[in-house]
Amino acid sequence: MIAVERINAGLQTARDVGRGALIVRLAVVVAAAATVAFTVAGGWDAPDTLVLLAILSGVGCVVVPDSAAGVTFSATIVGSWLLRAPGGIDGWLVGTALGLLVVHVACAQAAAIPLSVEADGAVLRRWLPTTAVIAMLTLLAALVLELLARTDRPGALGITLAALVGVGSLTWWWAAARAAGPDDTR
Amino acid sequence: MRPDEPVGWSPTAAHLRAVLMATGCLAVGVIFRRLDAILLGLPFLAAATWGALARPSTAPTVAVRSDADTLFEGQATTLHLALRAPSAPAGAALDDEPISGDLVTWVLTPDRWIEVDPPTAAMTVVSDGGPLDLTVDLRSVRWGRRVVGIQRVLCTSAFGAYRTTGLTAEPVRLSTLPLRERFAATDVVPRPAGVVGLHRSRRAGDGSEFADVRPFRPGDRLRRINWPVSSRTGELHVTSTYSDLDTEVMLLLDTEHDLGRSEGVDGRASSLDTAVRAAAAVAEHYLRHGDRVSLIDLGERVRNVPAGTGRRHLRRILDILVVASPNVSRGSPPGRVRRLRAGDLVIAFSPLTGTAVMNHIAAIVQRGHTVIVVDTLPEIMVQDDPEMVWRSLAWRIRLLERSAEIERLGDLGVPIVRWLGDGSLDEVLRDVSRTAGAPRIR
Repeated sequence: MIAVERINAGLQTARDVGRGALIVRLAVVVAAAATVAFTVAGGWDAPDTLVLLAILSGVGCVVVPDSAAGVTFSATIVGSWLLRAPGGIDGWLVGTALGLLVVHVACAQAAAIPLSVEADGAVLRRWLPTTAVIAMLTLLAALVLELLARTDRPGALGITLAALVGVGSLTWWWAAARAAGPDDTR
Repeated sequence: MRPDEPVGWSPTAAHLRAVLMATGCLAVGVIFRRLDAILLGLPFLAAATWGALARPSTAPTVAVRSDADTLFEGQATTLHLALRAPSAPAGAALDDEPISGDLVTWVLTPDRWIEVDPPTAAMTVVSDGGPLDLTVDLRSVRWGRRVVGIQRVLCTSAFGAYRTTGLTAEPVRLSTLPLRERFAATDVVPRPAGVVGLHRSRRAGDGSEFADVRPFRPGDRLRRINWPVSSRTGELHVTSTYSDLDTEVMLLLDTEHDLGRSEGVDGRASSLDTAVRAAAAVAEHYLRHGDRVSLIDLGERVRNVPAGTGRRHLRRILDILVVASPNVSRGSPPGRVRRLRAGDLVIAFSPLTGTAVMNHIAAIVQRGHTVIVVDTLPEIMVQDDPEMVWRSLAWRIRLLERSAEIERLGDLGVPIVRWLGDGSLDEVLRDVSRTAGAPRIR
């Protein structure tokens, strides 16, 4: 295949990109950018190497969503927080957690919608309610963790773990109820 | 998707990511007493839990069927894709067994001559988890045999945690017949011979065309008696008719070359397109009039249809025409057309660029048969291309040679007409009939 044919084939592929696939990938871009921004804007000195790696793996998430790029992105972001952040709960951390959630879900959806495939609004909204539920649970957990951190009592970690088990059980119950019941709340 | 891949649900990169991140963050959080790690791992924990819980128990089976397996050019049909539980028999009522996950993506095998809605022949749809029926509109835009199948079906469970592997389905075979344009010719054939067709004869005989009312003669059939005239005149009169005649039409299809660009039923036609469509239309016309039609594909040795009549015979001819393909190497020698009888009409469909078909036609004419040649060379091929000087020059030289060969055929008395659809052959049929009816000097 000569260069002109390659360019034409590439342009044809670009023309064939479905709107739904494009929107999902745009969501990955926006969420990944916001996650990196929250990490950088946290008030502590984020490691440049990890931030750069996060940006690169974020691009990888958009191009090949069904790959290890997603876990690399999430791991570098979490690593940045664990290496340099003071360890408390603040708005930037909550924003980063929500950003990671959106990147994860959008990547999973982008992997299910190949580039040239048509997908309507119903497909794009499919995991929106469940994502919103998990986001609410994350906010609730952030509130609980912050309160626990302020109490500064021995055994706070045990309470944290109990809260996590509670959140997990709640998720379990919600998902099981959805699978069993005729009412589709997804 | 490999054909030997086992059918089932496999965890995706998304699910592995959720599990790894949740496990890692919670472990770090507990070991190093980091609440931020626990908060960052929480969304992954919820997504992994949800994804694992919503995993369907069994993978579906996919079945594909089409509303019609035979189409005409430009005709549309609907393809049905059904996702069912493996245990459910075909046509069973839908149950609620979770098999299809949240999202179902299907991709059809691409085919240039099958238009699909959507044009990318791929779509992702929402599923409620149970059995699923999908419909896809197809339109066949060129004659031929096509295989429409599923290139890929992917079912994805909640949060993209699990995805099906190894889903395949038997493809659907579609046959697109080249019969689209209506063709009619004047009711003239050069030398009608049989007595079962619909062509009017100049001889009185048993037929359907009214000729005269004349006095009864011994041998006349009683059912031919015209009672009103007989009672009025007081003498028996009969209604006489012209006898109906039929002929054998041999269609000679030149598949040595396919010149020009084929753009389907809505665009430009190549020489083979024109030849196949014209042959189908002519065959349909003469078979409708009770004539016998045979077909010889000059590019293939085995794809000949002996003379026959009726609708079933038309289908037989069309089934051969849909597999016509250009083939230079398998051209047959001129001695092949031997089964012609006196009075048979030969109609050749050719772009007249090869020597084999010229030799065939010359040989047939020299044996005293009537041959009409339908020139199928696309009009655009006769024009110059100003951007490709050398190619244009070479092509002009070839066209000059072709003109000389066509003139030589003209000297043998072979009429050559362009295919213009309905009525293309009227004038030339009248001419050859007049010539055939003239007294012969030997």
